[in-house]
Amino acid sequence: MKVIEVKDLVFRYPGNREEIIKGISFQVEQGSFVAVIGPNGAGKSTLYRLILKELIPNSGVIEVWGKRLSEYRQKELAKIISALPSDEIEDSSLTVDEYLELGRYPHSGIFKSLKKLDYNLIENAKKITDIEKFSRRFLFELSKGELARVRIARTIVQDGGIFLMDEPTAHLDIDHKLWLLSTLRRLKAHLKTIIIILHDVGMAFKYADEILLMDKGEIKYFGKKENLNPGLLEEVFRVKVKMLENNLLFEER
Amino acid sequence: MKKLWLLKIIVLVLILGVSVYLYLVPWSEGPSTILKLRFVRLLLTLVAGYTLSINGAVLQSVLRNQLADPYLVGVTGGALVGFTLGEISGIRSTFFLSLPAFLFSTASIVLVYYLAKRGGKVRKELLVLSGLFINFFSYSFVFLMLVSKREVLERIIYVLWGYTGIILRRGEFIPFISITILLFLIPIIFLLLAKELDAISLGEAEAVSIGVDVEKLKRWAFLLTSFTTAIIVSLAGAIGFIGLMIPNIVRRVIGGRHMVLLPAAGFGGALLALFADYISKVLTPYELPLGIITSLLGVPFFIWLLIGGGYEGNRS
Repeated sequence: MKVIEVKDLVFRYPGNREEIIKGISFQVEQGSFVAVIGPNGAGKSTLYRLILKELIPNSGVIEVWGKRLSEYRQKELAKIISALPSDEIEDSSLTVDEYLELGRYPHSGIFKSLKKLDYNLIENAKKITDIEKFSRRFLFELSKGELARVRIARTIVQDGGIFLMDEPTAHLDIDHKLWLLSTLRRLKAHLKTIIIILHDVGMAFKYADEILLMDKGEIKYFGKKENLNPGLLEEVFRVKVKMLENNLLFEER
Repeated sequence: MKKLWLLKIIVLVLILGVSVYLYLVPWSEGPSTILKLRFVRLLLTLVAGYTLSINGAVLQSVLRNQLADPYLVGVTGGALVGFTLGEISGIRSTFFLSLPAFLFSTASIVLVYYLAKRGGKVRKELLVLSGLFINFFSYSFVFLMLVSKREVLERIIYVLWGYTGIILRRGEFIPFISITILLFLIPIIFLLLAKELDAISLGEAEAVSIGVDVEKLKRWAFLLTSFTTAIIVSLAGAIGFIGLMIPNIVRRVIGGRHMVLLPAAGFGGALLALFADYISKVLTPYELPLGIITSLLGVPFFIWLLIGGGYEGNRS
């Protein structure tokens, strides 16, 4: 099943002639684990924002579950896409629990209060992310690493079929980094589709099934990681690359 | 809902405050017109504090800036210009809503918002600066008009300082009561949007990922806060800092959930306005306008917030 289909997508910021996304097309199947990689300015975060309707493309189409993005209301979209932006969260005097309840917002109505099912999901997400001990604290009291885990818990609470994450590992310690990526791998078993933007190419290669390599608004490669030509990585990232089974080694050129 | 106790305490103190106010403030020799005058003043004070405080809380969340206040970000200033233009050109305000005041206050908040926005983030210092310059402009403009059009002097001077002792003309009593009730009811719309406001207070990208239509929410927030602020300006004038002080205090005590924050801020604002009015009447031999008292209280508070008394978190 096609979950996301992107056709001839073009985007440039208003008043700016340079195209950030230069007519890209690709499709993602249900249950795949895609890592989006590429150097700074490749257009990865712009792609994230386009899929989430935060930005409107100049031309081209994005379809989610066979329906055009423009036919979705923001709330409907959040029901099927558990997204995590790379933007830092503002200092907030919401508690962790109150924030996690917001994760159920797309599934709620104005006069519909949270049900037992919702609270079970929240408890479960807290357990998975190991944040139970500070669930009553205010968000502004947390460290960056704790906050990152709390935000990942929110995406789990949101319970979409697609996980779309922009640099979720940025503020995580190495143990939590590995934990997150293996947790995401396990979600695959539940037919969840994972699309994750990663800065760390080695990490992306180790955990993802498919690699979407972007450079200057174009797709250089999209497909199984085994078939990725290391020469292409060398060209895009301007480093020397060695491939050892499931790992990549990088050296200065 | 654990923190409802604070709400209860605030309501209780508010009722007590109103009683003490009615008891202490001299009723003088009282034919019924004076009674009516006192009643009008009391009601106006309460609704002004209530509205401005709630608007401050909403703007602080939507702009993600704890310094946002209808007065500081220029909404009040814009309304002032509009109101003055309306009075001079003879566009009568119906039901105390001066249409030009509403238009100019909306224009101000939109202008300030776009001036302060840089790359998807609303910059704290730019927001306050833009508001400040709109205020400079409005006050200069209003004074210019005052000099050139002496006829409208008195009414505008009242409005300039936030003078709640308005004298209703014949037949204005019923419209006044109606508009007051409307002002008390409008924040219910914000309560229906409480979750969306919670989300946007975390940042726009975060709110989008949670499923909030951010543009629509901002439109509603800007329109409603400008609308109600314009009415308060037309009625009682430019009263600043209530929307800065009360929401910041309340947020620190009961947290940031708008379902509780907004009602608490509303009642707290009414209480502060009442207190300011009480000071102006009882502690000084003159009847000082409300806006002067709130500014005297608000400016030290503002400085305290600026130098880091606010919660800045331990990450930045």
